[in-house]
Amino acid sequence: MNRLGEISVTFFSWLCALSLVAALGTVFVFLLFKGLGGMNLQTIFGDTNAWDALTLRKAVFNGLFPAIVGTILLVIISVVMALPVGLAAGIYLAEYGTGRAKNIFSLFCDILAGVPSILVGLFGFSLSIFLHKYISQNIYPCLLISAASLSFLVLPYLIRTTQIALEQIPSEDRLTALALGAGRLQNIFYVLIPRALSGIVSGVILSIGRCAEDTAVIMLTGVVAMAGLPQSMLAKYEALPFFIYYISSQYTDMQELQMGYAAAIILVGICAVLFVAAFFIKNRLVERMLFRI
Amino acid sequence: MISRFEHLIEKSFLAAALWSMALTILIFVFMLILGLPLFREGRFFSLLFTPWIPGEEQFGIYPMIMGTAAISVLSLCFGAPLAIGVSVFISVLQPGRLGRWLKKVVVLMTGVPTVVYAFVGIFLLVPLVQSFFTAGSGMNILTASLVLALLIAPTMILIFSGSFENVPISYCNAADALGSSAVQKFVYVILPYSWRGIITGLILGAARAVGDTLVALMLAGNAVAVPGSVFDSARTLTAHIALVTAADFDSIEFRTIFAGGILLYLITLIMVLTVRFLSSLKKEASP
Amino acid sequence: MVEEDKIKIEIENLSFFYGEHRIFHDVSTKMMANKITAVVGPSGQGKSTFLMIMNRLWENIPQARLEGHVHILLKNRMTDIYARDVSLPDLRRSVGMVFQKSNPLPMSIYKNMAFPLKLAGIKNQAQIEEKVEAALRDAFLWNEVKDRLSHDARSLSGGQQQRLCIARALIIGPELMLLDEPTSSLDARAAAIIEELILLLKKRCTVFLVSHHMEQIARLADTVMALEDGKIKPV
Repeated sequence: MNRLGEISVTFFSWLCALSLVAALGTVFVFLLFKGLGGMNLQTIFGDTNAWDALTLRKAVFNGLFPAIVGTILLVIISVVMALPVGLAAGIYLAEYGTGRAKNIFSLFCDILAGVPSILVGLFGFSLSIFLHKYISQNIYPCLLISAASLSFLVLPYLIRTTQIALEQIPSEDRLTALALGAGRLQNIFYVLIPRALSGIVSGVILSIGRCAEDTAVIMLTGVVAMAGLPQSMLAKYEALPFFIYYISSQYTDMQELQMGYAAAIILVGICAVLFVAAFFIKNRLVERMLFRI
Repeated sequence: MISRFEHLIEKSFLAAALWSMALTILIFVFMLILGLPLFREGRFFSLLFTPWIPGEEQFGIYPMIMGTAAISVLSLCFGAPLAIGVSVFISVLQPGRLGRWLKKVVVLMTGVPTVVYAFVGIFLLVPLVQSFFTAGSGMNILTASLVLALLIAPTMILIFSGSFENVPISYCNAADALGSSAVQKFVYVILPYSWRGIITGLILGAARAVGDTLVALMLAGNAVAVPGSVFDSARTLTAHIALVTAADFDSIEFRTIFAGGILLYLITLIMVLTVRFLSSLKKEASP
Repeated sequence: MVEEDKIKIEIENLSFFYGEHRIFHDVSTKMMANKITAVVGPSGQGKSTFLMIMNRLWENIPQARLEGHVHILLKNRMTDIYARDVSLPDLRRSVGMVFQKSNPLPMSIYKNMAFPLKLAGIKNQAQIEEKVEAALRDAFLWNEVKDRLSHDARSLSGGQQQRLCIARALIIGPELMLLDEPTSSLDARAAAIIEELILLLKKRCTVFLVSHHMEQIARLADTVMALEDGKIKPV
């Protein structure tokens, strides 16, 4: 490789790095430039008084409040649905799985992780048709179906992070409690899970982020543009990512578009906070655990 | 010995693992069942090659297959070189503070919601493409591929970087001590050793590109014709599924969605299996 | 072409830090040309780091920092190897290094040997073949590998691999050779061959050796230094 070749590679590499940063910077600057002006109480609560809206006394009609609440509820319900299953399956893979079985389970996990989100949404939609036909005529795509579908979406991530967090515990620490007479289950709950907690928690937080930002799944399972606050688990609801999608092609004036930008900023803000929290928890908890032991 | 209760808990762990496995299969099975009429009438394969003209009772998804192919390939063409360039920067040229900072930026990028990228794409990139290339509405394969490339690049960068940094340090030390420059070390030592990681990264990037819905839905135009050039509007399988599901759902029109879904699932399956196969190869080659 | 009594390496006020941790405290010393200088001392005190200071290989380690001056006589000029205009690849072609654990690259024996030449931009195949054979002979390895040059270098025994690494480091003609415990992972027989090799190296370059074995040092070294508590004392 001659001098010219080396210089080209170096130049290309720097170019790519700069382009990437420039592209990301452009996205952020553009968003802030266009949307910061619209970040006020009116964007969130519309014409309704903020206090009335928060205490649920009056409905909000042209503000982001229902979408924000919808996203929050969605995230909470999906994670609550996914967590026990993901945790349990992760524990199984890390602690009980053996050779071939473990390989096969892990393969299925990878497949599930790779399935396009629209297909998970389609599955959720099909599920609602199925339930509608055979269980109750009242069931349509709704908050519950969306939350269930999102839980399917993030399940592989939870399983994997739990499994990895547990597997990373060094073998000496695994055996300590057992040598002192602890049963397998006691070892898992009293020793291993606390040790793996930071990894597990950061996995949970990343799943929360995934649920908050997903659009394809909720599009097919119950989210709508105008629904106000969801009346029940079986009701339609609003969510930030869908609002952003919807408003991008359906905006009728600049004010509505401004709301779109504001929604984008809020959504990015939520995801950024979650990301940073996951990062910190992963590091701080590890430190605190190490010092306790 | 273990109490009944503890036994139950252990069984529930297994149940959870089995459930996740079942879920993966169920997703596919549901599509098969709901798409059953298509198989019965022997129409499945013809659907893959015919156009979508509802007025003429034609519900083929061929244009959408082409749309997915075009956008995925083009986004890889933009995204893969970008990803390699950035990962060379992070892992080889500037492994110090600058590289570590850039890596954090890349990780941050994976957290930005897809819909936000697409949203900015509509209002920033589309007008640019429109005026620069004087091409129709600006919503076409090119625009979608550019944004999609930005979306899939971070994942690829992290995988490439990871495999570059996994090269045994003894090889890197040998190269350094013998007077190699950073680029020489990359080309002669790191690259040959990491080819599996690179292919894995490319496949996973492709999988993300094929599976993406929002970017294509919002930026590619969604026309149902087979695209002829990068300036044509196109529709991907994923966007098609999203658009048609919004319509009514008991017609044959709707059931053809499942043909697309089955196809997407199989493509993803093949990619995942290939990546697994590649990583099993790795173990034989270690010194 | 023996240069007697010339100073090859001059170190002044050297301090080295890993983060906040100080490894060397204001070390100053000289090493003579065409002699074997050995450094001994307890493990973990920084002997390997001391070697790496001569070819700046420590700069790959994050949070490592150096203060002070290091001058090496290269091409008959005393060079400050930490000057801004010093090219690292060039420096490392003049200062060769052999590691504690042999590190053949995942290539054939021939390609391993030709690698430093390729890096230096030498393209003439005949010239390369000549140099490879010469270097392998100098390392007492030619007869053992001449019929399997295209075999993977990792198929050699431990001792052979280490001789390969020495040959590979020598092929580009360095003026200074840094040897980090070169025989520590080898059996007595393999070690003996390498010790013979090292004695011969003196004629064409200066040798800086780190070792644990006091008998080995007694056999090989012209000068001995002890590294303890971050300071160097002559022995």
